[in-house]
Amino acid sequence: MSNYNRGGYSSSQGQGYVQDSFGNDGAAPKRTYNHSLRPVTIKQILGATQTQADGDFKIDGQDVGQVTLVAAVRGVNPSATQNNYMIEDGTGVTDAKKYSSDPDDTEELGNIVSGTYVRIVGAVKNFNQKQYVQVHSIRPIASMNEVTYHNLEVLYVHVNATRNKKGGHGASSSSSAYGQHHNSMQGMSSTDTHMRGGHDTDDVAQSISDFIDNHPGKDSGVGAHRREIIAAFGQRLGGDNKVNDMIAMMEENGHLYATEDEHFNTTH
Amino acid sequence: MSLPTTKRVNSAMLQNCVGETVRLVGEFKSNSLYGTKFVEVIGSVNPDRSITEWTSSNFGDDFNMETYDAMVVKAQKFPSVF
Repeated sequence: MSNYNRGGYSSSQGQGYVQDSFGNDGAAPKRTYNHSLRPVTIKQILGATQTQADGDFKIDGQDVGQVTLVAAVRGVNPSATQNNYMIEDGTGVTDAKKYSSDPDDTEELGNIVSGTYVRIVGAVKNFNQKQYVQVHSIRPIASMNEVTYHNLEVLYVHVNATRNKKGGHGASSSSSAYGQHHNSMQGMSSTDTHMRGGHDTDDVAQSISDFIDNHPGKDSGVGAHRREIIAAFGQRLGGDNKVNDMIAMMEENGHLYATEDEHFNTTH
Repeated sequence: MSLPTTKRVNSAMLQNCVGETVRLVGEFKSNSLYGTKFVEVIGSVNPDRSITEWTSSNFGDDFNMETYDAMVVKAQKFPSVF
């Protein structure tokens, strides 16, 4: 599995830390690098759980790729290798470390002092049992409305994450409903931050995806036959045509694609 | 080691937070002593609902108070996140 087929924010991390180290585990489903970016509070970062040491973190039961947050800098500790910022946002305090590799760092240091509110994008890491943020980018915010905006976005994503599946549990970090074999499934919900509310069509789409994922055809890449999907969902959706409509919609949204001869497979 | 957290509050919530450390954003109606119209104050709440300031931050002159207030109220409902 090539480590360099990554887009988004991950390509410039360059620290040699491979998040998809699960490739070694033969029993685990095929994992792809998590490109998602999630707005969080420091409290959520500190409360993030880890299934294995050096593994991915989960917040609200969802795997976390990179995070973004808005916080006030309360301490700056520059060094030759990395700049260490102590940040707080009212929900908690943590460190944010940024490798100082670029020459434009001196500009960064000049702009960011104790008391500055900053926008940070980075990854959650752990050291000595405590989480911190490995910073990919840090900049002072231009308007304080960004504080309001960020907090609202955090709430929005949190509500969607915990209410995602039907009967979503509260924000318990031990949500077994997400954890186990739905690993690759989360690729769908964690990459679109607009996520899914409690809409029926979304629930059905999710069920159809589940159906195909659990179908023996999934492994061979062929997926499930249209007729099987109709048989499974016809009654729930109220007719063959409704199922066909749903399949067409999922194709358009990029969640399904046609393989051979009326078979459909999921895209993740 | 858990360091103090400061709740974001609005003035209506001050009554319930006496003795706590909070963050409050306010607008100066007359001349601002801080240089900008909007200021965030972090401090502890006194029994008379005033705040003894520990530190403050300038929140500029173009801050949207309404949205901020709505956010503060909503955030109260999610103590697991805030």
